[in-house]
Amino acid sequence: MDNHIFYELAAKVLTGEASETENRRLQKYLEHTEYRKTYQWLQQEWQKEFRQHSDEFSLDRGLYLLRKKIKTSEQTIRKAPRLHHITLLRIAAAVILFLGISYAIYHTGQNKNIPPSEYLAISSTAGERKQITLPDGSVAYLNAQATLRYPETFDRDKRRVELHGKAFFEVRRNPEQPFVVYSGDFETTVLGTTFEVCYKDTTHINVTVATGKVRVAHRTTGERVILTRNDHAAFDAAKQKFTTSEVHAEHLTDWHRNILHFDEITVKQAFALIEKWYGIKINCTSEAILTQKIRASYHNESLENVLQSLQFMTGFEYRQNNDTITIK
Amino acid sequence: MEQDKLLVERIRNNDQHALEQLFRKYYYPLCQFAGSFVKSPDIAEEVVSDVFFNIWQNRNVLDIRNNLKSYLFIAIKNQSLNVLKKNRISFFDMEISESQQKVSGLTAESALDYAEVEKRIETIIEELPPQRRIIFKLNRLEGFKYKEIADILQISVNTVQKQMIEAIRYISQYESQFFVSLVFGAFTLSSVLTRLHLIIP
Repeated sequence: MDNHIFYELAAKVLTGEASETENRRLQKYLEHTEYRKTYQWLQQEWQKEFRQHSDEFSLDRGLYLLRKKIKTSEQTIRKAPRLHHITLLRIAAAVILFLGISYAIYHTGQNKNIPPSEYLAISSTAGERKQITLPDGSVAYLNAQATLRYPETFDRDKRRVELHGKAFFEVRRNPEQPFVVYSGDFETTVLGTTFEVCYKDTTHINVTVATGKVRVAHRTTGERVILTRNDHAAFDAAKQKFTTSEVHAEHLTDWHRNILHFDEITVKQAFALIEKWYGIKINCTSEAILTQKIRASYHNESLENVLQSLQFMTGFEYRQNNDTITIK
Repeated sequence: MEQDKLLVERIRNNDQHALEQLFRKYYYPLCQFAGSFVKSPDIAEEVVSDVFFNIWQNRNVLDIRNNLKSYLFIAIKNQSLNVLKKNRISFFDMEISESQQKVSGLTAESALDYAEVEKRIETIIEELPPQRRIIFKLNRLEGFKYKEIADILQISVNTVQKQMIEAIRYISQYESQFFVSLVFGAFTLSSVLTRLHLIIP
């Protein structure tokens, strides 16, 4: 009895390649318990339905691509003249047409060249949040110090936007035209969902999904992850891989609804958030204050109201001097 | 098979619906297959639509003698390799980077329970080296014969067979693991008894 021959025979029989003789030779092996156990297990595996991971691919998108290719080619075929049918008359007509067009171009000037769709760029400053409605009706919320570039009209195949900084997107569903956020080497693709992208530099990206399904890919390594509700992914630059975790997406992303949220964090962390939120500077040296933990959320509140509320909770005193707040 | 022949005939007669019907039928398996070469799902979808577009463009001279399914897989492989060539990435480069990453985190020591084995069998297959995995999937998912796989990948039948044996050997290695951990006592006892029985007939 030889292991190698056993596997060769098992492979042949399982894949339907075996001859009558080979079938009989396998039966001999199966008289031994260990070979029989292994073979039964393999057979069982073989009968199982092998699941196909098809959520990565969309038939609608595929059909759209195919139809577009056929349509474009038919248009160019129609435009292309059939050389062997060209008569003198046609050449004459073409010459006249050409002269006519040249004349028209000459007289209408040069500014008739229609540029490819114009790109718009919108940026937010420190302490500023912006809401942008995109050409397809999707909405982007920019957090402080972020930039979003997008075309006046989206291309037919994809809705492409470019992001630097943090933004929350509410994307209108359209399976035929995926929505792609480009940030450096990263591509975040969705068909229609709500999610947050935070891109700082070439190696740092964080994506949080509130609803639906999102794919994040790193172009240079080909690494990619698929995220669903309450998933969060970060790119680990050292390992060149994505790491994922589960988060409370609603809390993490409710800044876009103008809610400033402190979820059991230290006053020190809260101050850092306030500084970014209102674009100010807070000076505080008291460890006793900074290490306290707080929990609060503010919807559309002024800086003054937030500070007064914190003052009430922690008992500090503050003084405001333009954009600087000093706390004792 | 018969249905495919009819569809091809209709495509030759300029029936775009027939093309789309064929497209729907094979879309997901072809995307998967293209994806095993080009990695990005977007590019895989491009490859598949390109292949069907080419069929449409050449419908007047379309000559599919053998089985249409093999024809489609061969076309997908060629188109995928063209795309890689255009982007100056060789499939070989990717094999190296890919074999460095382990997907399932399975080790020889880790004991698996039955539910896990069920879930993980596909993960085990993902751990096979790329060529072996592609061959295995063509057989297991698409039901291609050794000879057909050899034609699609332009390798010898002998290589296909060797790779299948290795794949099966690799998979059965997880069988013993799960068995030992699950029914350790009973299994060892029965094999001891069998051996005793063999020694003392």
